[in-house]
Amino acid sequence: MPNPLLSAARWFAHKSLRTQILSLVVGAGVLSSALLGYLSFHARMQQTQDEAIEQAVALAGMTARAAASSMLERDYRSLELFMGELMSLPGVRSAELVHPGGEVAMRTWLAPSGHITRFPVAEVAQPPALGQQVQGMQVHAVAPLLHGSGPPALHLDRATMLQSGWIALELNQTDRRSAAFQQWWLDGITSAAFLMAMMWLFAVFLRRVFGPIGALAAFTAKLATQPGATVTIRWGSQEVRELGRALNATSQRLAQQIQAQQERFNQLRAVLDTAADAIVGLSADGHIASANPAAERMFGLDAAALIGLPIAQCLPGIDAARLQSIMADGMLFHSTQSRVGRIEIQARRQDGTEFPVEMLLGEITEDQAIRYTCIVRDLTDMKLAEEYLTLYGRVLDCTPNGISVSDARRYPQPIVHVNPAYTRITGYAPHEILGRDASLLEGPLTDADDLALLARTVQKGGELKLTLRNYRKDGTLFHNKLSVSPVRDASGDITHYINVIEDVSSQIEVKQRLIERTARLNATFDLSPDGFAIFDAAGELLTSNPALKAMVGEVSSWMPLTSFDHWMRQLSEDPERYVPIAQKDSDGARHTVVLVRPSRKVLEREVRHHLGGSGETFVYFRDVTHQYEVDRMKSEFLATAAHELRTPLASILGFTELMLHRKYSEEKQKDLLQTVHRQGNLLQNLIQELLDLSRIEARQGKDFHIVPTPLADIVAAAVQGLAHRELGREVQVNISLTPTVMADASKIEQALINLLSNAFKYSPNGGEVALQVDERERDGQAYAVVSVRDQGIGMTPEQLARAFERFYRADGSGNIPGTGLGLNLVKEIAEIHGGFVELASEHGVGTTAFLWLRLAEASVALAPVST
Amino acid sequence: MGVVPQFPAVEIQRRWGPVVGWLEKACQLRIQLDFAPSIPAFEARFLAGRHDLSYVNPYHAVMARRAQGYLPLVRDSQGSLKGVLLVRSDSPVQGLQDLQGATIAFPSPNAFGASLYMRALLERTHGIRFTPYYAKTHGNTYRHVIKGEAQAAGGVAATLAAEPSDVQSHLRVLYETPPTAPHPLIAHPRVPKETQRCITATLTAADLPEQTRGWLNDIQMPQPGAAVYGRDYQPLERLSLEAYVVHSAP
Repeated sequence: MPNPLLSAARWFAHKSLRTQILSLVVGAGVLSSALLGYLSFHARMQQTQDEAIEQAVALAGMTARAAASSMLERDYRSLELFMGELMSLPGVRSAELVHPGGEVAMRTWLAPSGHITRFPVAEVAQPPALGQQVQGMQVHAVAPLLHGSGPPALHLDRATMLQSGWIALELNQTDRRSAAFQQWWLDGITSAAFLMAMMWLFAVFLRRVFGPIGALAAFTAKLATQPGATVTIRWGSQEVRELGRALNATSQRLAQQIQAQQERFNQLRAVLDTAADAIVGLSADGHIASANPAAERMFGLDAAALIGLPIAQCLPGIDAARLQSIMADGMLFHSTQSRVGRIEIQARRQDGTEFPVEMLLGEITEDQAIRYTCIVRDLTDMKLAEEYLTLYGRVLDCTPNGISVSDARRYPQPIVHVNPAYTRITGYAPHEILGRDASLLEGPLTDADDLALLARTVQKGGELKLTLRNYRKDGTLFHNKLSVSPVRDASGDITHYINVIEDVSSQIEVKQRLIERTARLNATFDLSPDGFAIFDAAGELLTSNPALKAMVGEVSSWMPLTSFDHWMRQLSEDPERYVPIAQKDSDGARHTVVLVRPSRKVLEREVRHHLGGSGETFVYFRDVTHQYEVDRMKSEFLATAAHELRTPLASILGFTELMLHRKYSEEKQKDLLQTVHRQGNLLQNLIQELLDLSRIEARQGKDFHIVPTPLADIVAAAVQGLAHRELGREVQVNISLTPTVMADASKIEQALINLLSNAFKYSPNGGEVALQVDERERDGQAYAVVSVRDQGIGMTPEQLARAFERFYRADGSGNIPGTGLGLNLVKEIAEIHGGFVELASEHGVGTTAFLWLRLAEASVALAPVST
Repeated sequence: MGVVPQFPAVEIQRRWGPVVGWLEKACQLRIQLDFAPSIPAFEARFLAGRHDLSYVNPYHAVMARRAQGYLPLVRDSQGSLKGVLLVRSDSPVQGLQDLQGATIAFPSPNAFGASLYMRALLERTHGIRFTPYYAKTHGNTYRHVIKGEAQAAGGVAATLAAEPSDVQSHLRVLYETPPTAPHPLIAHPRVPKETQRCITATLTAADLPEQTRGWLNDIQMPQPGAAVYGRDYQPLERLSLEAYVVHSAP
């Protein structure tokens, strides 16, 4: 049977320290509280009883003294009141007053309804023992009524008591004890609450103390599985925090060590795993003890299958004895004092295929399981690579392009290999160029900029293709189309440059000639006054020259031929009659196209399809507008001139015929003859003016003698020459300035006469004709301006616009004589002089003509002339 | 102001305190209660003219008038003063004649209803010979009978009614005197008429509050009314009670 005490002790011993401390403290607290409560209860009860006794004795003494007089006087009413007051005191239950001699005077006691007083008739009481007596909850106290002054003597004998009379008082201490118990209970509850609070605080404190320790313990347990983890102690004591810090440091160090070990292991593992060579561990008797992935791949067996296998199955002929002999024949490395055996043999895969391998053998003396490390290298690829290298060498030898290889790791990048083509192109034998750099090929005409670009590109490790002018060994120039490409090793560093060269001299010459020819053609094309457009086989505009743009406006590049036709049709005067370029039968035919936009133009168009067999279309435009206009104007002029000549001739012929066939009076004949004469004069003037005009036009001023001439002289001559023609009319000449102008005097005079004559003719009702000379400037040129102003019929704006046209007459009635050539003649003369003529007119008010003549360099002011 | 000591001084102070305060406030007076240790001492004081105001028994009113010219102001208008003769309820005494030679307790010799008038009636009217002794107060006379120290006790109906029922239950009324006017509040002639009128008017005012009614009950004057000496107390002069008045040193 188990000892419960022992079980409890065992249970306690297995609890946490925190639980143990807390249990001990709680147990001690509860026990001491219970003990203290018990002791204080008894002390309090004892004190209550003592107090009750004291109160009873004191009350009895006091009552005796107060009631003594009334007792002697038998003042029962007062005594009854007094007793009533006494009964109302807490705990007082009854009182008995006894007269001297033992007769009971009155008895008062507490009843549920209040106190009751009785006055016993002739009742005699026995004198009680003095002092006090406790019976259960009741305390009895007796005091003598007549005992003199001072405190009552405690031991009066019964005889004295009988003599003095007494008061007997009974007190009940139930309420008092009950109150004391309640007080004790309250104190107990308060203390218990306080104790519990303290316990709770202590528990919290313990939790604060042991919580971090528990966390640290858990952390320590975790350390093995999670090295490097850290624990955070927020509330712990200084010692706990220090412990935490130490554990964290340990954890970090442990993690670092483990990581270092792991890394090292991983590195070794990686080396083994990634090794291209098979690495196998062999036991002393020649059995495979370990194998890396390369061994699995090489021999076609997984590691599990390999391990335990005799090595002879993979490397036929290799057994324990052979291993020993290989090691014995092996090379001793003095630096490490290790011996390595090496042989080349045929290995065999699981599928039976054999392949060449190199086997390196090392010996381990410490390890029990592995005696030899055997590195087996597959030589298949190497052998293959050798073959390929040979093949590539042949390819290099056969290629027509020269190839050189320069070593980028050395300066100045010497050429380490050239192929036969390189020797052929440059003329240098390999022994002449190997070890030197490519600058050997440079010469005076080698472009320095190209060389700089090449140097920069090589420096940056880039690729480049360019054409250099290089020199052969014999000093002749050749165009070298060079291609430079870097060769990089596994780490990305440039080890070599491959330079491919090609002699492109002949190609470049042909190209150069072509460029020159094209430039010449383009210049011709651009300078030609005729327009050209070339469309490619697909019908898109390849090129057009500036002259075409001047003719038809801006033509967008790559405009399709159909759009061009559409465009031209829109520009032409008669779109219906426009013959499209795209029309095949238009080849070689000439078409005249009249454009109304962007300006009126007459173009001749010719088309050639399939130019040079390339399918291109060549369109040619020639601007024939001027020629066309001249022809038209000539026809028009001839018709008008014939008409103008015929009119006076008809009059002359008509009147002379009348005079030949009829008889007229002398007066009438004179009248008719005057008409004939006038018409003849008109005809003569017309012919003269036509002759002047044709001469001026034909010679274009070549017979003009334009020299500095005083304008005043010309004006005077003109006015004088006119005077005899226009009798009775005067010109108001106002010359304040006398400039010298560049003029052929006779031609300007004729022009002025024409202007003055017009002024008179178109002022049929008289009116002043005034001539004035001013100096003005226009467009930076100084001019003398001769203005002729009349007050005649004037012109409408429409008439004014056509005033300079040949044969145009402002007078449609025929009343004013004239040829319609005068103003046109003035215009021609003025323009040959580098000047111009202008008209300002208002219908019904008059006209002013301005003749602008260039001033001579040093114009001399002349005195005003008036006629 | 004196009050006939029918009750212990404490009791008098308790009963009269509120009424005195009320009168002081109503009539702008300063009243001090004068407690006499016994009725004879009290009598000596008002006969000497010590009190300005005094609450006395009807015969006192007569004595005071004769000695100092005190005049009654107010008395209870409802009740009347009746002397009673009491015996223990279990007493064998059944009639006055049973009291021949008995010891009878009285409050004091000159207590009107309980002693003076009662003694005069017992002796003159009923020819009872008895030994009087004086127990100072009405309450004491009743308790002395209960205690058996006297065969009978003289008292008045009003004080008997004021005793606890427990005391009353132990007593039996054997005889009652004819009623007379109850105790008056008398005023010395030196008290200004104005003050006298104010006191009378205050006490006899109608519609007094309940609390004031309680005070008036306590001084055995539930329905105060104006007292008239000639009507209320002068008839007592004819009873020739002088022979029963005990003049003792106060």
